Amino acid sequence: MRRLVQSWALALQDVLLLTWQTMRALPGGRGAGARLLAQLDAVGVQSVPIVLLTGLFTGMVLALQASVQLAPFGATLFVGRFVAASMLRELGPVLSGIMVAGRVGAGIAAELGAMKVTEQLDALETLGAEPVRVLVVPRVLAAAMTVPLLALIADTAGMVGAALVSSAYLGVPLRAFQAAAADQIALDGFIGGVIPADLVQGLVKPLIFGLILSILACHHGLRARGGTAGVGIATTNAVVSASITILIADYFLTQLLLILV
Amino acid sequence: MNPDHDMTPRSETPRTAVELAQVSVTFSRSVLNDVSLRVADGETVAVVGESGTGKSTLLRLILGLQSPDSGRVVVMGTDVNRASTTDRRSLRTRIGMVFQGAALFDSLSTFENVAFALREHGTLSESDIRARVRETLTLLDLDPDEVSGTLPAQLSGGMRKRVGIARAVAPRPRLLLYDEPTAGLDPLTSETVTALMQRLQQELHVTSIVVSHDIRAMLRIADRIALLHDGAFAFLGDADAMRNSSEPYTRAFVEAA
Repeated sequence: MRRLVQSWALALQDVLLLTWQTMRALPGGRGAGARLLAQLDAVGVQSVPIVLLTGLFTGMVLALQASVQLAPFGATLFVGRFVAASMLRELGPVLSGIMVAGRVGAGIAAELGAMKVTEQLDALETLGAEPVRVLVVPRVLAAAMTVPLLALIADTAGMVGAALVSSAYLGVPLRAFQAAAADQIALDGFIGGVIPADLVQGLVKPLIFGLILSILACHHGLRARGGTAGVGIATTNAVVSASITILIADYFLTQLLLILV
Repeated sequence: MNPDHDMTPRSETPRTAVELAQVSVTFSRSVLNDVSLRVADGETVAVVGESGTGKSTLLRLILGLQSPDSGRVVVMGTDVNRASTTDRRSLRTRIGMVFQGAALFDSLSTFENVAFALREHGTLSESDIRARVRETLTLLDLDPDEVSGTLPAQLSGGMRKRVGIARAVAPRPRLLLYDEPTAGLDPLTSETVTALMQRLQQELHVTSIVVSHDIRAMLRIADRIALLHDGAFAFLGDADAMRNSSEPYTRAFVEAA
């Protein structure tokens, strides 16, 4: 037990150190723009299909489940409110975070892990480059920039999916669904009278999730050891630790945002 | 002390490029134990020995990728372990390292791999970088037009090794470190790579430290050979002295080759 706590404490120390080194290496020096663009594509653009599908089907399932709960009260018209509250505040950000952790986190850990075990990281250092600046900074920046946008895409797809199911199977007209969703967003309030509070929650959370998943993926990749088996272990650890940390962080962020927003 | 030990370089003007003074390194067991070595400017020293005797660790110490438990590593006047991160990075711009598996960056083309350090150092214009990469690839008997656009995965083992050497020598370092440059190559390709190393020494006049299993090739190209055994040098001297050594382990090692 003591050894387990010790190893967790050491891992936490490593993650915090990597976060600090990443902040110090910002904005990334020579060639940073090109590296960031490549990662925006790898992390963001290439994640669009998976996030789109996840959001779409989650919204469709939510509409079906909501109808089961609301039908006995003759309140199926409120499906839009139920889906809007669930998708924008919780499911959009969390599902995007977890899906990106699975797709991108695994990719980052595997790529950096393979570079570590084939001495490419040593090669970077001997060629006068800092691995954190060249490899970690662009990935972390790209994840922080794109995961909120991916969450927005998941939200939109979820709302569209729910609207289609409501209209096709539950007899809720599209306009009624739309009005109910807008009512819910209005009910949750606006920041400065303009920006929907739901949207702020829906963007702040994925920003943090993006940072978490990318830092953890880089951490596990950079510390891979023991050949290809080590890369496999690093990849698994990256996805598991990022997914769990996102769920834990979601709880505390929700508490914080409910107070602040 | 072993009579075959010759701690001074042969050169008459021994400006020291690398000095390891009483260096010890322990992992789960003692790998290097109180090892000392001085390599003069322009000299080629081969470090040979069985697997796991700390040959590659020696190179990592010189690069500052690894710290010794005790002792001092001074490279071109810089105490590697006492140097600041900036000084160590600056020192590495004067060192070229050829890795055992080439360690080429998978996602970059051959051209980008060879140009990497030149871009990082930021002292050459883009056109000068292009010219330098072409010149270096040609020096390594590679056709720039043929290989520049290819990814490392598309190259043969021998070509990967040569591109690895090209990447190391492109910034024109003063010190070249080779980690098993011929490992895993067929005899003919191995011979080609050895000949290239010899040519680079003559054309670029760099100090070289070569870690290798290939004792026959090392006897041919090295000014001095250091044989690591049980964490210390069992032999340190020139090729003739090694061939004629009476020290049992050294004899056994040479005869086994």
